[in-house]
Amino acid sequence: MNLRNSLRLSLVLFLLFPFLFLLTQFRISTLPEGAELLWAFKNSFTQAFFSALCSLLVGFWVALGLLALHERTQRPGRFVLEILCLLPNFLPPIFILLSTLNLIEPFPMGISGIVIVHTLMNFGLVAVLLAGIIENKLGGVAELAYVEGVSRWQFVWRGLVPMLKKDFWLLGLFIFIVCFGSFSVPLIVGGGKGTTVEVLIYEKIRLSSDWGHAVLLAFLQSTFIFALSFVASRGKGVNNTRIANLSLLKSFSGIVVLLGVSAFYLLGYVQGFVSGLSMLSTFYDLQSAILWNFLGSLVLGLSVGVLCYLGLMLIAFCWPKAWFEKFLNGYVAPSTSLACFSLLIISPNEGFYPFVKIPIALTLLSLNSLFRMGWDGELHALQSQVTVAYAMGASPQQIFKEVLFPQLSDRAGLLAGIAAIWASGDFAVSRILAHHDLSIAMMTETLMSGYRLNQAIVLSSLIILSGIVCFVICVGGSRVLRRKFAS
Amino acid sequence: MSYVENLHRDYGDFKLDIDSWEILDEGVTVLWGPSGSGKTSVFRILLGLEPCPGMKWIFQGVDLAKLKTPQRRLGVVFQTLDLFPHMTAEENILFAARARDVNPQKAAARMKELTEVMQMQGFLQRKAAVLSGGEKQRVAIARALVGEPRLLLLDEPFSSLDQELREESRKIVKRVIEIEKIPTLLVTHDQKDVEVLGNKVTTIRQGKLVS
Repeated sequence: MNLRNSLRLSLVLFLLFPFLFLLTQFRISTLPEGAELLWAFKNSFTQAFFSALCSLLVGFWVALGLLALHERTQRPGRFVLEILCLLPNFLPPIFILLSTLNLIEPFPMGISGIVIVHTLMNFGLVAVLLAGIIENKLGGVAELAYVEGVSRWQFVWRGLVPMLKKDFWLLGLFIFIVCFGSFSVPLIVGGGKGTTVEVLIYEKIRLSSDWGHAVLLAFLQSTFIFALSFVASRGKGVNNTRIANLSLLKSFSGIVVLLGVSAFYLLGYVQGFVSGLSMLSTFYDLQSAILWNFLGSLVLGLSVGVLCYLGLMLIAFCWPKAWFEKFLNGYVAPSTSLACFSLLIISPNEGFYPFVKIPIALTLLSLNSLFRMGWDGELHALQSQVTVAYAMGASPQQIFKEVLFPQLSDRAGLLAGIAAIWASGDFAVSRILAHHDLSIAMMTETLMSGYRLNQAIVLSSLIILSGIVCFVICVGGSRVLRRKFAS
Repeated sequence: MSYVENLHRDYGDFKLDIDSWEILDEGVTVLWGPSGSGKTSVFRILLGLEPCPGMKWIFQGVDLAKLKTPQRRLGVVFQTLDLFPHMTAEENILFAARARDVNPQKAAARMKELTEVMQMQGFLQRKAAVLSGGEKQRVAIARALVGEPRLLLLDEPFSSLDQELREESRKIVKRVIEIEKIPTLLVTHDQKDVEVLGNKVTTIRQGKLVS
């Protein structure tokens, strides 16, 4: 077996490790209680369905707002709004959790609470994607309808909805899949009534050490998500790009909605932060812990950044290969709790080991998302250059070193930086793999669990700081590496 | 002559059906046909980028069909040119020389020759991303030739150029093919390419050779 085949196989085994490891360790001797299983699946399904629906509805409205800034001269404004849209999706979930918990009182724990948080996290992403889809696929028709005097609602119901039906369906399915497998949000705001499959797996292992049932549940959940992902990856929708006037669709009210929702969670955060500042003296005893945990956040963030950078480059080196690409497109990251517990039962777990295991778990869970966040597109875009280089007789090493690496390093650094921000803000994975607080995010979650929300918000500002530091190092480091390789 | 035999491939909605075909050892063999006739599929199969079980391609006693793409030692220019945008024109050409293990002295000498023939002196140090269409095309051809390939394969190489540049490019390509004495297979749908460059013309329609 040559080097690239061995590396491909190693990466596949790494990504499948939790499933393979746990299936060899635990026998599924009995089936879990049917009622409990159905209840958890029903909760997962309900919260994911309504999260996707609400995200689509709010996202569509905001998308019409983004279309209002369609002209070339309005692009900077559009760029700022798009950043505002994507912010909740890229920030660690703990920020949205903190600000909504702080602002909505009493917070509706359970399915509705999960739906609120998921909608806040995903509507912006939906808006940006939908605005792009409308511009690219419907611009010409919308312009023609405008010239011919069709009313907005007539066009929406008779043109936009039928033409983009498939795109809406695929986008909804994508959000549904993300929410169905969500762990940290249901863990915090699910309460006793909103236990999802993911949280049930966590409880099975953490509370009743019922590994067999946990593995079975994770298997069922992954199969379900895999089937949905498979459906989502098959659809493409129509495509017809041309620049057009979108006066018929644009709506400034969408911008108002975006600004309103953004102000809602940002103000919730700022308000909590200001209230928390008055309690700054209570942090006095925690000074040393804060310092060490800040360093812990940096170490975790940077380790994940480096591992993700290496993982993405490894995928690039192993590219292209039909079965490998199919695997990466079809692969669904394992249940968060399952992946973490599979690492936890491999001793030891003390000393510096959590600093090894947490980055591995976070890389395992994020690599596939990063791949789908544009890495596959980058690799496809370079495919023709790779083909030419291959036809010229260049070796895989030469192709990687001289063609792929210099063109991919910056993007890999950016994606690794995003993963580093996620890692800096992670508390769910760390909570399973570490017995005490190792990072600011874990400290924040401890305060949040103790209903000391304002203090938690103040402390969480350090997550932003560590996230920014990690992001800058990942992006800067990738550029330095690119220059070193290029010279 | 080199002989291609049993080039058959079923794509479901389209079939390539070529029992035998002769490609010249010298000069330019043109594969001409309208869009969708199967030209590019033939081109990719000859390069080894698509499988074609049972095909034979005897070139100077060697069955190229049995070799993997890099071992076929073919120079190629695709319609999209596909220069490496982060490299300069010169780096693009030297990349190909390294890929074919041409020793550095020889590569430098080849580089000098090709620079003169292709009139590339003015833009060798410029990044490929900022070259004009005509300049890119010259670099792509020089890159294909620097490794001294057995055969040069050109897929619609002038299609991305405007009318005026096409005329000039055809002349340059014709000259370099004559100087380098490299057998060339040109795939095109442009009758003008056939008139200016072709020594032998084969027409393809619906996956079959008709003349």
